[in-house]
Formats: sequence, structure tokens, C-alpha cells
Amino acid sequence: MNSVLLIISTERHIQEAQQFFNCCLQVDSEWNLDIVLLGSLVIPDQAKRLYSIFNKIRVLSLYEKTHKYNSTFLLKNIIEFINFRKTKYKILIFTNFMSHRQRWLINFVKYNRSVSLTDGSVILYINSNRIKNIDLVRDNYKLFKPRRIKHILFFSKFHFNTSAHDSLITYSEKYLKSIISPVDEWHFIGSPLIELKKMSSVDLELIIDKLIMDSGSSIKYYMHPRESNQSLINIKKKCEVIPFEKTYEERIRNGMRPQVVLSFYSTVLFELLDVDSSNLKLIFIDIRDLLKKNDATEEYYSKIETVYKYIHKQSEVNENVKCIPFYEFISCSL
Amino acid sequence: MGNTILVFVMMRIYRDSHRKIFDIDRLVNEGHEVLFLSFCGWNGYSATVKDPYLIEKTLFINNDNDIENFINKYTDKTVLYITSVNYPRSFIKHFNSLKNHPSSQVLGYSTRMVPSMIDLNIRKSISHGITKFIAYRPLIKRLLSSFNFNKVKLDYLLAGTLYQTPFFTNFSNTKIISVHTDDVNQILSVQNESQPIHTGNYGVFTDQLIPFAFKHLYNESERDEYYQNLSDFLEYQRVNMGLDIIYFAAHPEIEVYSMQYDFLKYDFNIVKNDVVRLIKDSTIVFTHFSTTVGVAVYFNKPVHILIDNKLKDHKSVINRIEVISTLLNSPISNMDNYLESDSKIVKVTVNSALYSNYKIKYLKDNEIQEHSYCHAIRTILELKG
Repeated sequence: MNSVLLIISTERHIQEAQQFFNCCLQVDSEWNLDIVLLGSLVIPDQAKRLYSIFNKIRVLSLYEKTHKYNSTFLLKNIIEFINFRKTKYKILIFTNFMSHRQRWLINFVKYNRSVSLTDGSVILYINSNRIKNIDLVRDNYKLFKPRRIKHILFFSKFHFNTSAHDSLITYSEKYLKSIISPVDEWHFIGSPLIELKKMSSVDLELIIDKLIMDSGSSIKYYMHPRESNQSLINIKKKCEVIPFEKTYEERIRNGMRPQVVLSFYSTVLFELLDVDSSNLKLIFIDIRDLLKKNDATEEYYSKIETVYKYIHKQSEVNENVKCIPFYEFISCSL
Repeated sequence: MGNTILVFVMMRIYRDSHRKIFDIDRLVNEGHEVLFLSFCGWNGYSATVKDPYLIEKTLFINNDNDIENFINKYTDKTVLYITSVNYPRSFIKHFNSLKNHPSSQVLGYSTRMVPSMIDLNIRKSISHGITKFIAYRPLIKRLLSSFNFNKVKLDYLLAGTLYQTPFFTNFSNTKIISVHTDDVNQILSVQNESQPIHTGNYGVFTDQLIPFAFKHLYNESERDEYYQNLSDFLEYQRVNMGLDIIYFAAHPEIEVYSMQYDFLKYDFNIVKNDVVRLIKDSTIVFTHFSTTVGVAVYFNKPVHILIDNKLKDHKSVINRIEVISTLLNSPISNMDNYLESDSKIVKVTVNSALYSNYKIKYLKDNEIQEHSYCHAIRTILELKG
């Protein structure tokens, strides 16, 4: 019996794994699937429902109630994970090579091939480190290091050149054709930058004020699942804030068409590059100048730098994509 | 070329393409006397050879008398038998009769290398380790060679790569001549041709005549369904991947089946007898599990593997596909439902490290640039003085 191990933490990962099974791997009722859910963004039943094609599915939910990595959870997880260790997996699918949790789980399993899904734009940073032969997770440990992952097959919507030990399958999704007329709305896709202390709520308000002033359209703010209501109190007074219920792409799949979608470097905008609609404009707000002012760490800055370089390249070949630096955005006319 | 006659012994498959595979024209031009012995009929297989040049040089062996006649006719000559090591068990008896010839030697070849499930297995690494250990210890080798492994005793073995040398030959006194696989012979013959078949981005599908090779899986109407789905899939991927065209590299046997099946009713861009040149300048190669995967790997071309619902249930096919996919990290798409899927592949890149590993294990592990069979025959004749 063939087995797949899937390590995921968001609903988008479930969808992307499904895309991988659809077009790159032929699984059937002779295959088993083991899913490790990290965090609380996906509930086990959600994951199970999507993979009905498999013979047997086991779901292990780790860190269910918390995002924190504490020793009690670690012990509990190791005990639960022992069952998974016995299987030799044909395919190991994970989502973030730089996540310590994922690397330690991977460390204990046997597998033939490893596939990395897109955990947002961080995939670009992961790849740039792979090219430089840098493994930040391993470098973090002095004695007991998680083992190297020799070859990775990236499955992503992003286009990039990989290291000699990796390869990439770039895929695209079928969205509805642009038969639907766009509504007179501009949508802003939130990111947990205030929670991560990379930006102040005042800076975010400046952006929203600018949008209200210049767009002449109705503004809707779509919350990120990790954004808190607390940090958006003032934003709620200025525009409609939509709490996270389902992914933004899901709404687009269901036919929603705004005039413009804006964000900092949200994965959503990269996903929307696929949408076959000449009317949909995408604006990335480049926060590098802001980060410099806020003394962001070097690691975080270089991560963001890789992503914005990619966005700039996209804006050169796609006239619907714009990338505007933060200070320019709030001072110039849109 | 002296008193030696080169006798190619064909046991299961004998096709027109063997003229090119063994480079018979070159051997003849160099003055060698060449002969084919076809055991295909006697072994229950069908030889599809039609080339009059080859037929003229062939003795069709159907019984013991034919063998005896052959031996009597060439008693005064030294015979170098050239035969595949993948022979049917029944052939061992026949071959032992051939060895009754007063002066003969055997060159076995194992030059069509496709990785198998065992290559994904730890046992392969262990056996390869033992092989390497024995290869450098002549005393152990001599001792082991005294055992009879119920195999045809080979004097020489032409191996594609040392990694894929058949295990039993390492326990015998067989001299191993490792050059490269048959695919590399074809590659070398076109490597210096600078004129590409197409100058833009294009893909290649390497046909295997699947509905004919797996007759038990596809009835006549299902053949049409197979080719229609294939045609739709290739056109869909042509658009998705931004390719100008996808060429249909015909199987060497297509002429045989063209008489009973109209391949022209589909929109395939069929190219015959030029698969290597097609792959050399292509953007991507589509295949089921063809041995041309080796050519794609040699030229660092991404491989996109196709299956359908029938092949999917065929254990040996799915095993081979899985091995290729694992060794190269290639995607496998089911052409029966790919078009309905929510997602589509737009680009596949190559894992250079895996490709280079594949090349060393299954294509070529040395610098020899000569046609492998000619190289092996020349080496043997030089050794014999």
C-alpha cells in the first residue's frame, strides 16, 4: 500500500495539495493518506472531506489550541507521531521548509520523495536560500540538527529558478472567465504586520485613508486569519472589514470581481495573477522603506526583499500589476 | 576482416531498427562478415523485420537441424556470437547447441537500461556494493565462476554502465566492456547536427503504440478513445505551456501498425525515425514510460509522464512509471481526467542533480565517444590479435 504524508496548517494548503494530487500524482483507493495538521486554522474534518479518494486517512492534529511551541505539547506530539513513523511514505508533502516544527516532524519519517507546497511568498526566500546552500533551521542548532532534505520538488504558482538539487512544477488554476462585470469596489487584503510589530496601526490607517480619498469606490478590508480585531478598531470606523471565513480566492472562484485588489505581499495577490480577467488590477504596497525606518531584523528584511524583487519582475511583464513603495503610495495620487 | 564472423543472435525481438542499433552498415564497411540468427519464431515471438538487406543476412532458426546446418556451414570460421542477456529460459538449450561450434565466443549485451523498482530499494545498493567488492578481487571472482548459475556463459559483456551490470556476470570470468546504452549511440550520431527540427518552443510526445502493445487492455473502440484523449491532452498542454507545437515521435514499429490503423485521423504532428533529434532541441518531453526518457535526461529536458485509467491499473506499467517519476521527480498526469481538473501544469523544470545521477547509472559513466557495439567488437578482435 502506498502512503502519502501531508503536513499542513492552512486551508490553502489543503487546496494546493488537492491540486497536486489532481495533476501531478496519480493516487487512488490503494493509497493511504496521513495528515498532520499544525495549528488551529484547519479542523481535522475539513481535511478529511477533501481527500475522499484515498483508502485510509489518518489525521493528527498538533498544537490544536495554540500557536505556541511548549514542552508539554512537544511530548504529546512525539507520542502521537510514533504511529506515523512506522510507515515508509512514497511522498512527503510539507509546506514550509523553514518551519522548525515541520523540520522536526520530517526528521523522524522515512520517505522517497519530498514535495514542498507554496506557503505563501516565503517560498521565494526558501528557494533563494536553497540556491545559496543555506539552511537556517539547521544552522539554528549546534548539536542535534534536523537532517538535510536533499531534493525538493516545489509545487507552486510562482515561477523561479531552483538550485541544482531541486525542481519546480509551476501550475495554474482555472478560474471563472471574466464574464462577470466587476463591482465598483476596491479590496484590501490584510496581513498580520501589526501583530508581528512590523508596522503601526497609524501606517495602516494612512493607507486606508488614501484609498478612501483617491479610489472613488467603496473599500472593503479582508482580514487575514492571524489579524486581530483589536488592531483594526480604527479601520472598522473607516471602511467595511470582512472577517476571515474562507480564502479570498474561494470568493473569486465563486464569481466575485472587484476593480482593484491591494495588499503588501499577500499570497492572495499572487494567486490572483492567474485570474483570467483583464479588468482585475493588482497593487502591491512595497513596505521595504517602512521596514528600514522601523529597524526590522536583517532576516525579515532579506525575506521581504526576495519577494518584492519577484513582484517587480511581475509588474514589468504584466500591466495589471503595480508595485508602489509605501511612502510614495500615501503621498502620490492613485 | 580476418576469419571471424559476427553473428547477431535475435531471440525475442528482431526489427528493422536493429540495422541502426548495431550500426551494421559500418561493420560491413569495415570489412566484417555479419550474419543474423533469428530464434524469434522458435521461441514463440514474432520477428517484424522487413528490411531486405537484413533479411538477406538472416538465417531463421526453427529447429535443431537449422542450428546444425549453420554450424556445419561455418566450421572453418571463428564465430563471435552477439546476444542480449535478457533471453528466454528456453533459449539456454538452443544457445548451448550453438556453442558446439569448434571456435566460438560470446559477447552478451545489456545496453537497454530502464530503471526498475529494485532501483528504489536498499537491496540494489547492497548488491551494487558487493559487485564492486568482487570486481576488484580476482581470486573470489575465479572461485565463484566455478558455480553454474544456469546462465549462458559469456566471454564478454557489453554493459551500458557499470551500475547496471547484470549481477550474475560479476560471479563469472566474463570480461566486462562498459561503454554506454543504446540511446547514447543514437545521441552520438546526431549530437553534432546543428540544424534544429523546429526553432521555437516545442514539445515531443514519444509514442509506444500503447493500444497495440497492450492489446488485452484496449479493444478496437478503446484504441480510438486512447488516441483521441492523447490528442486532446497534448493540444491542451501545448496551450498551457505556451508551446508552438507538440511533435508525435512515432514508434519504430508504426509502419507495421499503420496498415491496420489510421493514425492520420488525429491531429498528430507525426515525425518518424528522428526522436533523438526531436528531443535534443525540445522544451519538454511527454511520455508514458518509454526508454526515450534516457534521451530526455541526457539532454536535460523535463519529462511529463502520462497515464490513463487503463494503464493505471496495470501493475508493471505503474511500477515503471513510478520509478521514473521518483528518480527524476517528474509529474504524472492522467490524460483521461486532466482536462476536467481545476489545475493545469504550465511549466516543469529539471532537478539537475537527479538527472546527472540518472545519467551515470543508466546512460553513460565514461568518456568513450564511439558506437558501443563497434567499440566492443573492435576491442574483442584486438584482444584476440
